Amino acid sequence: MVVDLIGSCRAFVSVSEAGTFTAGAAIARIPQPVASRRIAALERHFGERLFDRSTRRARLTPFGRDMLPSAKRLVTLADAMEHDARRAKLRPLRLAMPETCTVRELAELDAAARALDVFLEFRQAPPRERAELVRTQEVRAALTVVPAEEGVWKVPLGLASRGKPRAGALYLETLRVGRSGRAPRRVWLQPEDDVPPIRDRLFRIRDSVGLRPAQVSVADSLTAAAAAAFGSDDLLLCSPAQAAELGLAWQPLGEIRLARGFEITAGLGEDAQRIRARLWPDIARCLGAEETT
Amino acid sequence: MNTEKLRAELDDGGLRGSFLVRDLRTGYEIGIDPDLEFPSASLVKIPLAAATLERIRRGELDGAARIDVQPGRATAPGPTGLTRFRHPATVAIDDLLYLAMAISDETAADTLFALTPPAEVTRMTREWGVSGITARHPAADLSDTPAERFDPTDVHLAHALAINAGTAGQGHPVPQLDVTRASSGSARAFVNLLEALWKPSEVDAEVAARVRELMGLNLLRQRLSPDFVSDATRWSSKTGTVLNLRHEVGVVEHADGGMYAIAALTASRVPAAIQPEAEVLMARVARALRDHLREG
Repeated sequence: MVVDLIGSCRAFVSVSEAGTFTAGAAIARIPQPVASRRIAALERHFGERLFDRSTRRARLTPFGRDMLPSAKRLVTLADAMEHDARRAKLRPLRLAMPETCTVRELAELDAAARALDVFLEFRQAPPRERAELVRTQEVRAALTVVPAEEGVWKVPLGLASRGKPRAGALYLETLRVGRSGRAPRRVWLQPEDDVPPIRDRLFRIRDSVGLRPAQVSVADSLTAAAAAAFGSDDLLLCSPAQAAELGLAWQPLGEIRLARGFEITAGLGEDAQRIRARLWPDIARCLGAEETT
Repeated sequence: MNTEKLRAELDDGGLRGSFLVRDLRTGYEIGIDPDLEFPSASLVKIPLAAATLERIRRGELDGAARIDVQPGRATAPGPTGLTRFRHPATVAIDDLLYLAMAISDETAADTLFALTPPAEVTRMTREWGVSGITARHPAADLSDTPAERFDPTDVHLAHALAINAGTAGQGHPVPQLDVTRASSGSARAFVNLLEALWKPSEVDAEVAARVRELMGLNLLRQRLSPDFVSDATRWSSKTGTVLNLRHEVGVVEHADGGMYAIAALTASRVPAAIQPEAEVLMARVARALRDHLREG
């Protein structure tokens, strides 16, 4: 029979401290017969008596006295381990998120996750850095960029500008300067969209419809890109949710349906699966993703 | 004039360029990197025409001599005239000159190069005191680049290659883009050639007049022409295009006697075959430089 070494030692230590089997069992919060059975099992395991049962009080035998210190150490260590396990379970899961998520969106995701007993801690970073943070294990998981067709989450992109909302799509080709000599209207990409599936496709369209190279470029920050859209007729490539946030009118692109694609990358495959399965709708809301996949 | 703004505008438009505008009456000039050398593409047809006409003048060639020309049978976009012909033709030297200059016909140019080889053309330009223009290869090479080997839908790949594969010292794995292997010249060299054709020079007056006339007949007018032509001006020019290179050199003559030689040589870093905005931008910059000179 396998001895429950820790349970038996706990009973052994309790009874030795209390002086009787009844009181010792009460301290260990187990019924008295269980305490007796465990101590008996321990004695059988060692092949030697721990208590002298000839008196009413439970007195340690010399062997019992010799074994008591190591039994106490084992019990303390087991308690510490239980405590550590409880704390480890409460430690938040660090998740790298796009910089495009607002405080409100992140807080709502956090609250929704808590309700599911998942504790999240966010680290916002640009796309390339998010993948790197997972590799260096600075975060447990990250929302990383994939082509939209492969994405677990898809965020539609279009062009936002000041002025009245307009129906229909905006064609990049209409931004051509021609011989008009007017200042070229530009399209600004935020750093989140400085990734091959989005940037390179848009640059290819820019070149093929005859825009000047500078007419579609990557801004240093979302703030700088938004400022250009506020202060001129320039356009910001963004999601409808971002446009609403910034108070800009949003139109889809005419030449191409462009979307951000996201996937969960985690050091542990299990983490990725858990986040995808439990938090899919909440992350979708946070990203401003389409609700259907 | 601060040319920095124009330079920045060229850069925004994806162009690197060599520009020079010279007032042919005063000699005043203004430019942007006018000594930067470029493969000259079809601009080389100007010295070719001048050299051929000079030899006709000397009696070495007969302008009326009829030559049998094999058809080029080109199907890719770009080539014109005899280069697209499907059947053999017999064309006089004078008419080959017209085709080579007015529609940049490569087969016509190569038929002339067969009579006066590139090295001979280079030697003659030197004799006229114009240095810096070198003819090195037949014109057919200009429509035998990586671009012709790609499907039209993938032609931007050939341009991406052309843009990114340059080596130190303006070398290039594509020979047509390598200034040390292709026919080449700078904006200054071509303005010098134009000056020799429009002003009294070592070039025979008759020959110069014929070249001027041929340049006035240029039908390719999508580049600088729109910004220079009017009822009050005459625009005579020659364009040159290969892969990502777009050039035009010409002279604008105003009714009031004003006369400006203009050379615009550019390389684009936009991987696309058709770039209307590059043409517009070249013209705008050339025009801005010319306007500055004209305003004094």
